[in-house]
Amino acid sequence: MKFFEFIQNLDRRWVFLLILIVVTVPFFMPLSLPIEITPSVKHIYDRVEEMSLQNNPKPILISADFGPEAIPELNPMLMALLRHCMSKKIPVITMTLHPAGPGILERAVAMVADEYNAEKGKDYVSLGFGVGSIIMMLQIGEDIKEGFPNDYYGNDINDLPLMDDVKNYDDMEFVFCMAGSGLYEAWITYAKSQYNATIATGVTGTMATDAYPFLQSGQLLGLIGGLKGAAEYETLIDQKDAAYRGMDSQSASHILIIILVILGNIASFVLKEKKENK
Amino acid sequence: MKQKLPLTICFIMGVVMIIQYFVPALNSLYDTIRFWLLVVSGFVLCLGIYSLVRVHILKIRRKAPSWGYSYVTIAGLVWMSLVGFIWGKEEGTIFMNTFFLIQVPIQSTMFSLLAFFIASAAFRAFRMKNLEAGLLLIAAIIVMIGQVPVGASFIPGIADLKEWILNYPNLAAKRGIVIGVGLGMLSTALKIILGIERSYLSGGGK
Repeated sequence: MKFFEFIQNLDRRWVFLLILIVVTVPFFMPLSLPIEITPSVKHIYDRVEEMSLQNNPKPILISADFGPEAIPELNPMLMALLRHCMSKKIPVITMTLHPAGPGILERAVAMVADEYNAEKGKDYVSLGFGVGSIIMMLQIGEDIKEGFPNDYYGNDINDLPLMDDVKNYDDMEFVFCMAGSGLYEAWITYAKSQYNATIATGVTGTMATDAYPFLQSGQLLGLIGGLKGAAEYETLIDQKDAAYRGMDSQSASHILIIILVILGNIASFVLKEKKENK
Repeated sequence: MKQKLPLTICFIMGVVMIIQYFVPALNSLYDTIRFWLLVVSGFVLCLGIYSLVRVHILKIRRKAPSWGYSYVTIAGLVWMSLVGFIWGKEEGTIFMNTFFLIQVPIQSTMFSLLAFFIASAAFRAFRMKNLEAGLLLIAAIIVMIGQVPVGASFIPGIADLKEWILNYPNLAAKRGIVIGVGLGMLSTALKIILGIERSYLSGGGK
């Protein structure tokens, strides 16, 4: 009975300590369990693979609309998608609608471009921060060059070879919006509904369940949800990195929470019974 | 006049934007307004900076609670603007190093703390007190196990069950919420255009 009372009154600092242990230990003792691929992630991967078979594929617009708080979950999927595109020589246009986004985006793009010797302006273009969120989505639907007269580094957009044949969403294969908020819904509302752009999204784990209605209705091409989704994409492109490493910690922490919840319920039930019997 | 002018502008613009959506002849008007909005967005950013500085200067002057942190906010704003304008924003510059060595760890730490609080909250709040709570608890456990590789590796079918929960019960509830929110947005937009909802005006429409 003392055990159940201990569980019932467990100080939250013990919970914090246990979480710290289960999150950190797997980094030193990896389990390397296989990752199950979900269809929503596979759709995006397949679309990029199909594009790689085309002679002159249209560019993909990647809008990394997240700040530092979402880096652990969203940066791995950004890196994985960039690696997939650049390894297949698929042109990429990057931008962000988050004021703190340009730094994160530029570092990721520079790192992957360096890995695949991608050329700035020809293989990829960094547009940087777009002011006005929804207004910018509408502007891209008309003429992206009016919204971004210069790239992130101040170069005239008309001087960049990749942008020669790009005017609006019609000239892009799809838009991949990454957000730690509900901003992907705005992409669906304004870019998809108004300009018929194809939208795929990568969101944090907590936001992923909200995106399911749009996935089922066909308004989203695909969905990469949280660190698990990023790990799936890393597995698909056979470049296991930060997300895959993080999955062991996530597995361990989920199991710990489940054990704690079950123990808490048993303790609550036993103590309630005891109280009623008295 | 202070009230009537913004309400009139809002009404006219709202009605015009609805009409132009259905009348292709008014496309050029839409283009002009969209371009204006782009310019206005730039000024909104300036307004935001002005507002931030004003609020914190007032806080310092009044010695409001935690006023010392206002110095940090203003210093951060000035520092980032200066180093960005002087030395640029490319990789390896002071601007980028300040961003990656200060802002990123601070914000990431704040977000990481959620894991600890969610674990503690789940332990205390997830109690099977009745049938509904029990169903919620079981669904949560299935989704949590099915979401991670350890579940899919050791419990056959759990990943499919998780997908089913997300694709059917979750979807049904979410769709209901989305439709409700959509209708709410529509009615709020109409109320704003017609001048019934005035809380966006200074002073809560009083």
